[in-house]
Amino acid sequence: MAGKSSEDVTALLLNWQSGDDEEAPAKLMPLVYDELRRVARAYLQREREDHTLQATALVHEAYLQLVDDKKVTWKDRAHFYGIAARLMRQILMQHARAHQAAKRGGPAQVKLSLEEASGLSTDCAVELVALDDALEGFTKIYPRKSKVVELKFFGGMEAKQISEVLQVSEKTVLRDWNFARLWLSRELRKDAA
Amino acid sequence: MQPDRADKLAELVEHAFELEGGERAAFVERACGDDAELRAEVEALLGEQERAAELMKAPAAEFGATLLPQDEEVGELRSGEMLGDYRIVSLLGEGGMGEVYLADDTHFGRQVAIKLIKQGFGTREFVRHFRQEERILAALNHSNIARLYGGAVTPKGLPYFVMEYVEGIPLETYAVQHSLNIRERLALFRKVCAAVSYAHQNLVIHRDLKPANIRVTAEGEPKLLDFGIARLLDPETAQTDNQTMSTVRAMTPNYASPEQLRGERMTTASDVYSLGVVLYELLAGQKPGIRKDGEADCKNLATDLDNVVFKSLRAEPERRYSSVGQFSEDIRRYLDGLPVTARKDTVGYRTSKFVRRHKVGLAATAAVALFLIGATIVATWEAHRANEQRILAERRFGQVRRLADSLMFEIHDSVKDLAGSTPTRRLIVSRALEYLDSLAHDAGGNVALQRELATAYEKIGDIQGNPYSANIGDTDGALTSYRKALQIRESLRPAAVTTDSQMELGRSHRALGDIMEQKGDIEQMVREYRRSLLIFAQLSETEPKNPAVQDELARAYETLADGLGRTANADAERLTTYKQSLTIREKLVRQDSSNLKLRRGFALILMKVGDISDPHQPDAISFLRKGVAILESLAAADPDNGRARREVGWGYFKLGGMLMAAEDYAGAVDSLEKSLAIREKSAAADPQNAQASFDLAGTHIDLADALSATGDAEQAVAHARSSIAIMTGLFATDPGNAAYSRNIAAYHNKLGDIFARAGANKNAPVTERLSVWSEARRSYEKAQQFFSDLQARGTLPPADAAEQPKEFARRMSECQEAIKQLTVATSSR
Repeated sequence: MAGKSSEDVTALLLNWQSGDDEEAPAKLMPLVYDELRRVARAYLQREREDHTLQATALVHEAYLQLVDDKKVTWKDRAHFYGIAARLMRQILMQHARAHQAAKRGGPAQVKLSLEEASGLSTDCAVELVALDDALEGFTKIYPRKSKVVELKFFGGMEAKQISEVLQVSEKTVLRDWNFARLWLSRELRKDAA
Repeated sequence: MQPDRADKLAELVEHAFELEGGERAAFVERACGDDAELRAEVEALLGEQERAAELMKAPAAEFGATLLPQDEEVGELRSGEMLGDYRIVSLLGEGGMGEVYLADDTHFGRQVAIKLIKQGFGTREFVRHFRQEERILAALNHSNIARLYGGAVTPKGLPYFVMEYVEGIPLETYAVQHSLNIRERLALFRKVCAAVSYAHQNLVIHRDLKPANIRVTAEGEPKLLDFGIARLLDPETAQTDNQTMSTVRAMTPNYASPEQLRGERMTTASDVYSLGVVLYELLAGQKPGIRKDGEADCKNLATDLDNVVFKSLRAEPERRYSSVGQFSEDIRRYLDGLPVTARKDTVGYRTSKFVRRHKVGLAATAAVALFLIGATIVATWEAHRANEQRILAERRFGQVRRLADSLMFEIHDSVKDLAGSTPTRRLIVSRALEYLDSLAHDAGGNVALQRELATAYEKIGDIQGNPYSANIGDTDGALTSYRKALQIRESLRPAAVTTDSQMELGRSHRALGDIMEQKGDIEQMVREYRRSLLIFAQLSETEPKNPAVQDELARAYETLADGLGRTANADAERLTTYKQSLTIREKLVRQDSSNLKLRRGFALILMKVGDISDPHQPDAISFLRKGVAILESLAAADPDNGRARREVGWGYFKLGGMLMAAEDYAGAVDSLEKSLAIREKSAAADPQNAQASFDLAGTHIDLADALSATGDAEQAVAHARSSIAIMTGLFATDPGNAAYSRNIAAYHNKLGDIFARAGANKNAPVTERLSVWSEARRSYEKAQQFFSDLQARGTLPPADAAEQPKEFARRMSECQEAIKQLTVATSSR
């Protein structure tokens, strides 16, 4: 069932699509953000055993909560997934950076205890932060390819959906993805060296 | 790396990636030729293949699931939390960009405001950029500018600023709370100017000046917040990737200058513009009566101060004040009663003079508003022409249209009841038309703009002459405006035609028909109504289930039928047309039976169908009874709704009339008595309301007629006399109203008939019959008297003027004859 903000999100998507509201993406951000966080928390509480989080399922659930599917076209849906991917990246990176800072004995305001930030999660936080930084560099040279990474890696989207969001062929998406991985892999080794 | 070289690298690697072994090596060698550097790059990347296959194998959320928080979070920062040296105290507010917190500076022991930016922003970019600007901003040391102490990024990567905490209230709120007069407002505004001017001398432009960013302290000192913040957050000056979806230019569109909207380089002139908007609002917020310094200020405001505001709001930066200092200086000159430097040879100047001649008090608001409409529409249009900002400009256009709407309609409505305001209203309309015409000239193939324009023309048409709203009586002007709207709507490319645009087109034709009726061109009116109907009927075929379309279609049938009532020999078509509307409305009500509006529409069409049906057909009465029953249920559902009550009174009145025609006199009496009860209450509740009294008189006379038919002469006479008394009262307040005197004539005539019928009753005593007949004669005489008066004033239809005197003569001779016979009978006894 659609929540209270369903109308807002649907209307914003439609306005964006029709060009009526330039700020629609900016207005959508917080709504989608809150919902993603809520859904993610619910997931983690439900599946505390294995902590497996399917990004696609997460985004899809947020989508179902926020958007009245009957009223929007596939294009609006694509925009939504684009935003969700962007936000997933922001959410994850905020936490990854917080973990990393905590591990390093960073400022006191970090909410996570050292205990929480220890072990595997910190390893993956370090990896994520390095990757995100590398991606920032990649974006400057290859903006579209970088978007493919964002949609696939952070948004958990398939090539077909990505090709809809970016309005390119699926083949291009796959080529972009392959190249990005080569490039980022090399960049990460450079940094590590 | 050069962009084309980067593209070439990607292209080669992507191609090679799909080849294997020897083929790949051969391809790389062939493609790179002797560019050894390129070849090394290609090979290095291809060498990552195995490691790359492991990279980002699982989606990030899965990979980093353990990073996500597992407890409920409330807001970004919490009370007591430390951010560097600052301890968060409380959340002061939330805005579009982020949150503002009150915090304790544990190092310096003072309170600060922390502005947390929640928009996505490249962390490293932000820090680098902030370092560049920080020194300049921290050096801004002015008592009217809130200090920027520093800025950093939270551990979560959100940028924040630490600023002087200002305990103050927004500028406009302050002005209202302290009932500042114009001089005080201007003095306060000049302090704001001084602060902005100081910042400009230090090479800092504010870029987001608006009333909310200007606070006034308890001591009455204005403080400007967020100086330079807009620039720090501008993705373009920060040179971040401006393709990211999350970047939003930090500005407030209503206060942003045209060049800012176009995304061009901003100068101090952009702040001048924003200050101009702030000043306008500060002055426009001034309510008449608060002023302490009398009319002199009003008079000046309509001229000099307008020019000053107008000059600061010019679309072209080079035509504004060249500095905030000059702007402020011109205000000082105004305050000192010196001539201002703002040019006077503008349309605006002439306009304001014109307005002032007619109505000093309202001139200020109206004229300033006009300038603002003009300035902003022109500015918007220029922004529109810059193609790269097209969408932004369209949105802006919408805002301006709404602004123009609200100014036009609010100002128009606020002045329309003032004596002598018509010239001002005409001016508002003609100025708005000028702007629209120039926009229309340029709107070209832009569908959204064209539809906006058409709507604007229609609204102006309404003000000019829509018979169903307050208008300035310019029927020809309204016709021209409606035609312009129609022309725009009809010129839309077929591809741009949507349900909405067709609905608008249909309504356009209807509005044109209304005006045609006003002009007395009945033939053309019917033609327009038919066109409107045709459009809605076509729409209905493609969208048979759309209730909005169906509602309009029903209305189109109804409007056409109403219009046909003004033509001759169209009764049969009129009835079938009403019935078409009835069928649709019945269906709509069935689909949504709780919708009061739909039910009312259904009731009214039932009444109309019943009203023109043949009274001897049994269904005529049942249409009306059904309609009245619905009207009663609507009134019962909403007991405070005066209109609903009045409609019940009207419904019973109609039903009573129909029952009379069907010769069911007892039924008619019953129905009319119900109508009377309601109408008596309405008239008593609002004695000034002429219409209520007029309606009441109508019920009295019909009831008199019905009672007379049942043989109750006494009651009949009483009601007829009541109707005459009420109508005579109305006539006394408005002796020029021919409808009143025509009704008085008709009522006397009716009273004569009632007496005559009573006099014909052979069972009554002869003396009584004699006196009744003479009463009849007296009534006819009075009717004739009023009638001759009307005839003398030339307000009678020719047929009446020819026939009615003969009719009176015949009736009076009947009375005479009856009296004679009865006299003979008495004397021969």
